[in-house]
Amino acid sequence: MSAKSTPVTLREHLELGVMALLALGQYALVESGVRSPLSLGISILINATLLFGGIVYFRRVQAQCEDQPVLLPVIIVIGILSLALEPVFRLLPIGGSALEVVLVRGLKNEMLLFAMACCWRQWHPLTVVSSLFLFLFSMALSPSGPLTRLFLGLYLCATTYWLIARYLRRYAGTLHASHHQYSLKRFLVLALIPLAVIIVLGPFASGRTIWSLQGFFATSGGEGGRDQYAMGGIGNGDALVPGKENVQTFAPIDDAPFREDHKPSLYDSFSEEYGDAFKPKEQDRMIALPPQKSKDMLPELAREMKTMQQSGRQFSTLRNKTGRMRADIDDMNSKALFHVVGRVPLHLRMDIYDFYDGVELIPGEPTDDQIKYKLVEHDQFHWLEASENTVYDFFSAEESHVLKIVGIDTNIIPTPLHWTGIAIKDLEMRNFYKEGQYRVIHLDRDALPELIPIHIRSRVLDERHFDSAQVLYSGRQIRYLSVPDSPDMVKIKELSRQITRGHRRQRDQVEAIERYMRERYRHLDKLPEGIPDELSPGELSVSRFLFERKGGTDYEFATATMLLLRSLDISCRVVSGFYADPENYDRRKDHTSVFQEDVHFWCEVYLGGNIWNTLEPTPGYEKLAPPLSLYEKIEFALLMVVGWIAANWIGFLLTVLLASLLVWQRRPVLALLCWVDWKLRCAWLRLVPEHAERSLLFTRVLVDRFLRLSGHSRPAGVPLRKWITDSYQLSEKERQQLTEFLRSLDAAVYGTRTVDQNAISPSFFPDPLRLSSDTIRHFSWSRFRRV
Amino acid sequence: MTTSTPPHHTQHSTSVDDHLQQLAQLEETLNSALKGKASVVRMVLICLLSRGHLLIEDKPGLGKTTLAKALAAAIGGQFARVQCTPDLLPSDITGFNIYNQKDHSFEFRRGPVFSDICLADEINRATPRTQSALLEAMAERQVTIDSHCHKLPEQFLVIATQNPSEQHGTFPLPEAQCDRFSMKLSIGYPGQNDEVAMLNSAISKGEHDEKKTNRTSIFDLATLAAIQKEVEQIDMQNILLDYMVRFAHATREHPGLSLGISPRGLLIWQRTAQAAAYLARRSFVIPDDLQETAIPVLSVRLGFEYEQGDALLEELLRTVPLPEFTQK
Repeated sequence: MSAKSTPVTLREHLELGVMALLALGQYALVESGVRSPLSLGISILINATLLFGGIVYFRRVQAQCEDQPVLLPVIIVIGILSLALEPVFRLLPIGGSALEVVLVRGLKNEMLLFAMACCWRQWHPLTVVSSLFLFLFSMALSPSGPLTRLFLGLYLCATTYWLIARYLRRYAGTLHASHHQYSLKRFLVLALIPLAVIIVLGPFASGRTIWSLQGFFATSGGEGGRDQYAMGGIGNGDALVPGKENVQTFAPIDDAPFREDHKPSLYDSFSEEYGDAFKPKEQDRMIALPPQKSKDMLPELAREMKTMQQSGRQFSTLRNKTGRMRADIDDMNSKALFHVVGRVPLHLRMDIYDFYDGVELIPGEPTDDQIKYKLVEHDQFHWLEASENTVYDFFSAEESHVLKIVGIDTNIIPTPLHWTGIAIKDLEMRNFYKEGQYRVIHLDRDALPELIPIHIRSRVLDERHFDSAQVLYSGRQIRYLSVPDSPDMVKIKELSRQITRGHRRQRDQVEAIERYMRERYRHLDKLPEGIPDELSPGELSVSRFLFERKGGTDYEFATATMLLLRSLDISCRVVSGFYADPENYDRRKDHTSVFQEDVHFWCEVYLGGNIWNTLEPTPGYEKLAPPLSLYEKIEFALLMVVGWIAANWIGFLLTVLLASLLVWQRRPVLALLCWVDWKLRCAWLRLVPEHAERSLLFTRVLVDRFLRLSGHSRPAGVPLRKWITDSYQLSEKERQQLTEFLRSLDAAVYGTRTVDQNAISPSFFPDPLRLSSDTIRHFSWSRFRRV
Repeated sequence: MTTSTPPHHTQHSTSVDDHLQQLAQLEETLNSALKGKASVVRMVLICLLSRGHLLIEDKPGLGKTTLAKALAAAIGGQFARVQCTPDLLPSDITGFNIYNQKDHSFEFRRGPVFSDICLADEINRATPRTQSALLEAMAERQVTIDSHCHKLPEQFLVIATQNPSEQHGTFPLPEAQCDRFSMKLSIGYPGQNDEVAMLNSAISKGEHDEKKTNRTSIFDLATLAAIQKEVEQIDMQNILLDYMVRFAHATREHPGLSLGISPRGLLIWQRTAQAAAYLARRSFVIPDDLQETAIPVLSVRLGFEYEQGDALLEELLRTVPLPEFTQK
């Protein structure tokens, strides 16, 4: 008898409809920010009409035929539809929405469907839960105002009324108590299925697959991507939380006070990382002049020499050779100089070296009038924005990074090459920012303020677009072609020709040299210990790296690459700064710490069209790839899975075959497992004869399991004897065996309380273990399959 | 398999074995009186052993009276029969005081309830007033007339028959009265072969007929009392009592039932289960006993809202979980 529930009254149905309607109203507030009142009103009207039309429709369907239509495909389609239609909407003039709004919209559509189908009682809980979720989610997304409060109050009233009415209806007994038994076991088994799926798919999910899906709500600020449909601006996540107890938990807040302190400066960092600069005592310094065009360049070079001597910021590539000397400091919680929130790896530029005199890298001039900086206010910040005229538009979408400065005593703001905006909260004056070298900004202070987040918007050159342009790297800037005047340059030029043999385009040449450096040379953290070999006159400090050691530090890589490229007439320069290493990424805090060891040198090549591109010649360091869009991420994750399957297809095929075999033959397999379990228990009971009677219980449990697996599950209220004799045609022998077994079992379970040992003599009953095995022999798994 | 005949593992003494033998004989006698209705006969025996009153509900002419008479004859008691009609008065059942002019005193004239087995035929044709006269007799085994209490015999057993209530000219039994009966049975039409056998036996000679009606009793009332004592001692585990109470709760909370099992109903159910266990030669009750007796015992005392009575009970029996098996 299936307890037929009483039909849902129209009043009951409308109660749920009202709840849905209120949630709908709250949802409309989410869109109120971006939609015009007219279109909003129309959409509310359409939704409400749909809701009540649907209610009428489904009630009519119910009246005509008792069975409810199959709704599951509709639910799935509706769920997918709102996501799938979003790209279409973005093409239309009404515009698209942020991802979270799209998801809420999908939920809203589902809720409408559930509310319509509420004439079948099973949809009630889903309607209530989805309307509640929609309401709360919409409340979180929409600006709070009097309307929200009104809706909230109404919604509370509606739900309370519904609860009371439901309770009273139940109390009145009109709601039939269902005899359906909610079995915990069944629930657990159902809960195990997703777990099993995760376990099965676990091997497919490498770290990269999972991370490719990170930041699903890109526009909520979690990832910091910049999206034109974003609702709350860029980087509005809650990543920036003050931490004062421990530097490890440090996450500066925007309006923390400026503070000054004496922390190691950038140049101190350099000294600690690379050792002191080697200063030849009594040796005249060779000043390298470009081999050709020295005549033209001479006046400029003379000026360059002057600044070089004045600035005192040269970076000598000839260093005292020391081992790793940095002792770990125990009494400091964090050795990080600053943290980077956002995508890594990231090359943060601080200094640009235009020249190399054979020993030292010489910084360039802090002038560049190609770029105009101006302060613009939006997203609650005053952004210093860089505008320049570029020929090519190879850039990816903007994304944001936040630098959380812990302690670094420099006033240079570490920035990615193609940054488009810098902002510090409450810094509203243009003259706080001072231009330095190309795209390097100083703060008009002694040092960067501590405990202050610096927001940086930047773009990445998307090299996938390079294919369309043939002329890349052909633009030349004379300044970045000069090489030291040294006999070694001949060898270097020879090497570069050798490397780029067969490549006519500059772009291929650059790639060939980069590849060559990355593949043929080893990266060493430190030069081997010892006194630096004296350079013979005219010898370049990178010669030994290039031709003898075939391995060295990153500044040697960068310098050598610069020389190789310049010898091919490709404009190139060396840049130093910090490298935010993905290995230092802290998942829990969602930031990447940058340490002193992360001081790094790399190259920049001139693309032409006023664009420079980062070139990373040192193996082990990577450039930041352009951000993937959501669809690209999903595609990437799928490709990863497909790739993994293709790589392990034999194992995968076997697993799938085995799994489907198991699923297909799950009943015999489970029966076998139950039988093994029973056998083990009986074997154990053989060792403890005083509990031998328990074997009867185990046997009964096994018989019950067999019954369940063969599809003749015994109802909880029916005794075993009755059930078996009713369900199966038993032979005389089987009947006898069953009677005997059950008599022993009954005596064991329900037998007299007043134990009278004389009355029931042990010989009176057969040995329970033997009886059990006899019973299972008669009532085996295969017996129960035969009806 | 070494055991050829299943030994009955009771702690019954030899007298119990004798009793069981007598009961088997009784069962056989009843079966020959009412052919092809072994299950009904078994229920009648259980009812007898549990000191319960019996309500047989069926259409006319299915052997209700035959069964009652055969039973009365077999247990050797005094048999009385009341044919209920709408004009039957309570005193027609209980008896009345009559003025004895010789002695100038009132003399009590005993009614048909002063017997060991009282057959109240077509009880639902009597007026409610008359029906309720039976109440006290059934429940207390005593009759009060003119403030004088008359004890009824110890083994007093009422077998009432009734026509299905939808027939004309009937007064349905009130629920209070229903609860006094321990079981409601319905005999039903006999099977093809049994009907032929019945017809066949009706052709038999007159002497045969004589022999049948004047059947010698199989055992006396004292034996019956002893058996009933033994039945009361049948053991029952706590988990089963638990099950009964859970079942009772289920009936009380079930929306399809206006009246659940009363505690008295539970006591009766327990006693009948004990009787069933006794008949099955067991010294303890198992769930099968409870389930076997559940429908006749419970259908008489549950108020059904719809015409689904037994189906609903069967559903409840299927869904209320049996006690989990545990070692004692």
